[in-house]
Amino acid sequence: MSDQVETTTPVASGGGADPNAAVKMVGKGVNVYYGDAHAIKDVSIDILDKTVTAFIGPSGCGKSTFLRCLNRMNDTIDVARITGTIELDGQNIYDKNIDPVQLRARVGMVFQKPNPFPKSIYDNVAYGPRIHGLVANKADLDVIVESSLRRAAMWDEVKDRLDQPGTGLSGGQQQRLCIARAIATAPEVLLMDEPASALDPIATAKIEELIDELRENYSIVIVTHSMQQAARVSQKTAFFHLGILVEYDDTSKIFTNPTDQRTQDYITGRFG
Amino acid sequence: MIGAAALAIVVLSVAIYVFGRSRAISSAKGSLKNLHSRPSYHGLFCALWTFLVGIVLILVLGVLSRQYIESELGGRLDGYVAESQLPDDGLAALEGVGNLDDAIAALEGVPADEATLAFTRAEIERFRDIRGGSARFETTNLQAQLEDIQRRLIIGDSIAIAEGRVPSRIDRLRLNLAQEFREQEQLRQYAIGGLALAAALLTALITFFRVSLPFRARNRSERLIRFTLFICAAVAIFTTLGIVLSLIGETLIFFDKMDWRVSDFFFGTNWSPLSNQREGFISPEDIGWLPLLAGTFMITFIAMLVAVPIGLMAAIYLSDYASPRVRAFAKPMLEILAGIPTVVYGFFAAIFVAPLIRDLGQSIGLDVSSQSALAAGIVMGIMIIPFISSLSDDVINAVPQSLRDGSYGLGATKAETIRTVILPAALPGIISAVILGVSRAVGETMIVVMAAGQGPNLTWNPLETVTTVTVQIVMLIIGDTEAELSAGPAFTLGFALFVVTLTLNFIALRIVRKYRELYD
Amino acid sequence: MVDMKALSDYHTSDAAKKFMRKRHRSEARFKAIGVIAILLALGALVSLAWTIGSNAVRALYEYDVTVDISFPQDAFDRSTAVKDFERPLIEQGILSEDSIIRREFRNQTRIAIEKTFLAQFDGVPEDRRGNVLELLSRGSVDTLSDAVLEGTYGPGDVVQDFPALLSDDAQLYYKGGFGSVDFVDTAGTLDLVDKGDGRVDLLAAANDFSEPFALVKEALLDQALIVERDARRQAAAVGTMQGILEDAGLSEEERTEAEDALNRFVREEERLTNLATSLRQRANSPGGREELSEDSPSVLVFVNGGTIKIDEFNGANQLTGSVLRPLSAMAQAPAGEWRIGMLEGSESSRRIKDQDVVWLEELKEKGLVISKPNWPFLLEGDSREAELAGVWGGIVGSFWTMIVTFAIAFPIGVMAAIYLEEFAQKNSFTDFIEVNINNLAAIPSIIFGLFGLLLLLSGFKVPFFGGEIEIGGWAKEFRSAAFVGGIVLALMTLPTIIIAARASVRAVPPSIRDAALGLGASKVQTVFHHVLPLAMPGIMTGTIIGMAQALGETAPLLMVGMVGFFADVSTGVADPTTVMPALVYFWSDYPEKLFELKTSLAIVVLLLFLIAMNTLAIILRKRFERRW
Ligand SMILES: Nc1ncnc2c1ncn2[C@@H]1O[C@H](COP(=O)(O)OP(=O)(O)O)[C@@H](O)[C@H]1O
Ligand SMILES: [Mg+2]
Repeated sequence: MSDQVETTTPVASGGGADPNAAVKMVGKGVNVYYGDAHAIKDVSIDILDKTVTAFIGPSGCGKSTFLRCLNRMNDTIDVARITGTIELDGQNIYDKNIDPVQLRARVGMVFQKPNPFPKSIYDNVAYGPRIHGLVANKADLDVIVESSLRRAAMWDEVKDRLDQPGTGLSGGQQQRLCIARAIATAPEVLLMDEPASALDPIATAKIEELIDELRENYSIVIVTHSMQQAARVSQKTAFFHLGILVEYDDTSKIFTNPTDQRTQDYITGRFG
Repeated sequence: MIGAAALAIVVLSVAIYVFGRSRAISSAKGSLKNLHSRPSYHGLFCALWTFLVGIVLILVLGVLSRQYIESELGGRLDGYVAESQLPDDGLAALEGVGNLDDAIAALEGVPADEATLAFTRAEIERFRDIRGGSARFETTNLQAQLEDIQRRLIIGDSIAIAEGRVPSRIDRLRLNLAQEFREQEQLRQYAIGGLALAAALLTALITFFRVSLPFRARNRSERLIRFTLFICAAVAIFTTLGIVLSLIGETLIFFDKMDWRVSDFFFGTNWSPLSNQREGFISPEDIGWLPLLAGTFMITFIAMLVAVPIGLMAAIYLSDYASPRVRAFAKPMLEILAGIPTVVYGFFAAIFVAPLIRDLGQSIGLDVSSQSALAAGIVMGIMIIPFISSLSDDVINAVPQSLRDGSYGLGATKAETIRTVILPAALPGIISAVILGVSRAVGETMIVVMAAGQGPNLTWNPLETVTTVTVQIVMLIIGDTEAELSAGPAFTLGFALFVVTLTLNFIALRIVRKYRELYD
Repeated sequence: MVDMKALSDYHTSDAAKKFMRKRHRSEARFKAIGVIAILLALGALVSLAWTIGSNAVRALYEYDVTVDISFPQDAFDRSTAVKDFERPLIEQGILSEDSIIRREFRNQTRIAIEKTFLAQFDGVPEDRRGNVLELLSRGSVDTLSDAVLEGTYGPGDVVQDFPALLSDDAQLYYKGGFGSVDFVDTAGTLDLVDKGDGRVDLLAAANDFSEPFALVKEALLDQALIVERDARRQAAAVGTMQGILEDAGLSEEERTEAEDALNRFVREEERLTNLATSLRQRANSPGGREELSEDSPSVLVFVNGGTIKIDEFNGANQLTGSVLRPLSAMAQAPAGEWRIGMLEGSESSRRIKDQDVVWLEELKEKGLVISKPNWPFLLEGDSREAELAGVWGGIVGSFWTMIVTFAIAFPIGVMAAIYLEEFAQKNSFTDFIEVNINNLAAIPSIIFGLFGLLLLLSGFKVPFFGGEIEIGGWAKEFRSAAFVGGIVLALMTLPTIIIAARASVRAVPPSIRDAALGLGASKVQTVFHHVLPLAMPGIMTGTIIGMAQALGETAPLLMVGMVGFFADVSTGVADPTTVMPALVYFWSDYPEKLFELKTSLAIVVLLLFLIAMNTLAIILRKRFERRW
């Protein structure tokens, strides 16, 4: 795979979603409260398979919060409370007999700050398959690790130092390692919370390229602060404001002809 | 008198503050701008110097001269012996008597001169009132003992009389001594007070005449204040230095007496330094500290066996599992455990845990000593639980939330996250917490003094009784043996303990520092 | 590349579900271990609190016997107090007339009290008077004789309702420390036959004695268990001896000796085994003759206003006993009019014997025993008699010691913190100071004690300008005094205060310093006028916590002689004294059980002080804590 920097990225190249794409996840009337604070207000959304969906909006509007609802990461926060339903392949993930631990194997997550474990690169990637019992033997594990690192476009960079600590990599490499780690678990949906915000432009470009490649196999949801990024990588865009899903449409539509005045103001940089 | 002098110095300081200030004002001739420093700084400069010179002189002279008088007074008593002649039959009756209560009982019915007997009884009774009835009555050298008892009583009484307290008895000798003490003491106090006051006065004058327009009083007095602050900070160094010097000094003197057979100390397996105390010497064969070291480490090991799993798991549970309500309840409870004085733990070990373990052992047919290493170790472990748990809690919480999120985001359970991500990341911190815990356990005194044994016993069996370094230090110091004999081994053990704990502490700090570099 | 789709499908497969169950089980196990750890820690705290608390509660009350005491007309005569042989001693100044008179009056008071006390009983044989008097504490004699010396009472006076304190063992009996008498009501008559010499034959018409008899038999089983254990040990010894004999390398002499020993061991083993068998037989066979020994439970018969202790069962209904409290008549007692009392613990295991029990029950029955709050415990100094000992001396000693500690550690600690935070340049020397402070915090407290000891011990001489100078010794006159103890604790507390003070000085925001400096204040002024006042609440909090630690510290004070018996309550920092935790340690060494209870109560008092200090610290923190 090429490590070349993509220099000429046309605005809104993401364009629109494949009209045949299946619906992967559905949110219906989702509300999230942190204690008394109402962070997400009655959000309903369909997230498509094999599509990159971007969440944009000013800081604190609830993008991350909603993203974390999609794999029940909010369960780890004591004060968070959620109402409404979110379905994955037609099944409510907040149903009593859904195991959040298993759910997170199907809906993986990459975080804003690269967070490799203080273990070797190999162990980082092998972590998910190991805990989920995805493979029976070491050879299979080796295959998964290699293929995940390849998918994350960093196999060539690290293949000679798999036993070195993941914390020793550069920021961009660390983030791609985290993506490889998430892929290795073989999720169906990949959630990314501002995956490139801590990275320099070159590393960012690599990550974006990666996202574009991964779209073939996964449904990807990405939170981003950068409108350009959303336009570059996503097919669908959701604009959040003060916990409300203001507008959700094809990326090209949002960036060229938004319906709502607030969206218009935001993407033209009037606030945010 | 000294108090009066100190008061006078304070008053003088206040006065010179006022004078110095007004001298500064008057020398400014109406325009204070001409003064380099504001008037109050001139006053402060005078007052600070005056006060410091006076007080320091009082302290130094006070310490030095009292020592001198004490030895003077003791020397006066060298002539005093004859009065306490015990009749021979009385001496015979007292032979083999164990403590002062028994001594008094033994005097009953001795066919001797009634007056002498009454006198002897009165003396021993008075001594008993001071030392307690169970205090040891040395069977050797009775006559010298009684004389010693009397001599100490007389000095105590004399000083009591001189200071207006109630003596156990008043007689001519005591009155004379008291008189002498009072005179010397008065002389001393006048001398010290006078000298200090004079010096303070002189300082006051000197500083007063330095007040002038260009005098940089502010800088000078601030420098003095800074210097005082610096000295206070350096007290930490003085203390460490004092401790190290005193321990090393006594240790060297001790090893010198032992003909420098240092290896006998480090590798010897026989610890009974006081076995020759009658003859007044210590044999190098009797100072092997290995049994004490082994005992110390056995109890420490047991303590760690209790404290590390419980403390660590408690910390994990509280930081990652417990609901806020459970945390709000359990954390203060653990802190209470940390705030309980060790003497209370010792008592708990002695009256509850040790008998419990002995009975449990007996019920399954085991021979358990009532001062078993196990009991002391368990209770010491309980004492260290909060220590381990709060330190582990800190390091576990210091593991960034992003690592937890990363693990949960991959679908790991809490236990998996803790075991495979958090604990490895926190390991250096936990290890240093454990090392600090070990250092605590090694230096802990009261629990082992109250619950472990005193017999040096080289054994692997935790159900037997063992002794520790700290127990032996305590036994040597609070025993009835003359300090001249017991101080040597005690200070040497103290020095060894000091080195061990300091090394452990040093290692722990190094690990922590390394670990900090990892995350900051 | 792997087929990711196939792998993804795994997550919804049954295999994954099964694996998941396993993972959840392991999760539950891990969590359970955490819960167990917390419960163990809390359990330790609870059992500690329970051990101390249940003991302490029993020390809250003390028992007195109220009696009217009358002094004879010829008592308290100063002219006859001094004996002839004592006159020359007085003249020589060896004895003082005052102390002789004091001793004499005290004696007469004691005799009056003892006489009155003895008169309370129905009848005490001459040779047992001493035992009765041991039930009384020495303490009431002191109180009363002091009153006599002050002239409150004189010859011929009667002291109404004088509360005579009971001895520690008697107190403990009333507190239930030796178990209590279990009474059994009776269904048949009891015939008594006086055998003379205080011995009585008893004949019960009904099976009233079956329960006590069963109890006695049960005790035999317990004895049998003990003997069997000894027998097993003996058997082990025999085994060892045989092992030694198998060793071929024994000399002839050694062999004979070992064989001798073996024979002795075997005989002893046989004896023990036989004894155990016979004990078991006796226990299991109904009826039979059974002599009660010191190791049997006690059986007392309360009949006709007196008490008989059973010495021997001849079957369940025919017994022999000895009179411990005289009976009004040797007549037959009708059913229900007499009672049987049982004490489960054997006589040899208690310090209160059956006779004492009978006497104490008699006092109680006559309504002479009162219980009252144990205020003297708080108000009195130490004593070697358990029932008289109080903690006031320890409280006062702790107070003075803390005063010294505070006076030294607080100013030095605060100034050191100010220097390090505000003035010190970052250089190797300040680093060195820091390292020293951290190390001081880690030094075991006993080492500070050794350092303190050095101040007391002279004899450590070092060469000095040709001569010698004594390090140590300068505090000799303050041995056991709050002064030295306070210094030692101050050095120990210093690091705590410095660290806390530095933290709160650091927490004062730079903007405040900048503002003051900007107005032309000097650094020193800024620090003392602005920073220090703002940091003070934090410093005080740290100081209180440090002082609380010092208050509970024992080991270093052990080294400077503050553990021991100090009858007088100290009046200043220079008096020899003990402190609360040292008192706890000192008392815990006494064998008397009442001291154990009082030690627990002393611990409670100490803990109350600690709790008060820590609460104060928390309040200070809550009230003044400012977030900048
Ligand atoms: N753990 C939390 N506890 C309480 N409030 C939170 C928490 N996380 C986020 N919030 C609040 O929820 C709102 C949405 O936050 P977030 O989803 O992080 O916004 P975004 O990612 O869009 O910047 C914010 O007001 C934030 O303060
Ligand atoms: Mg966010």
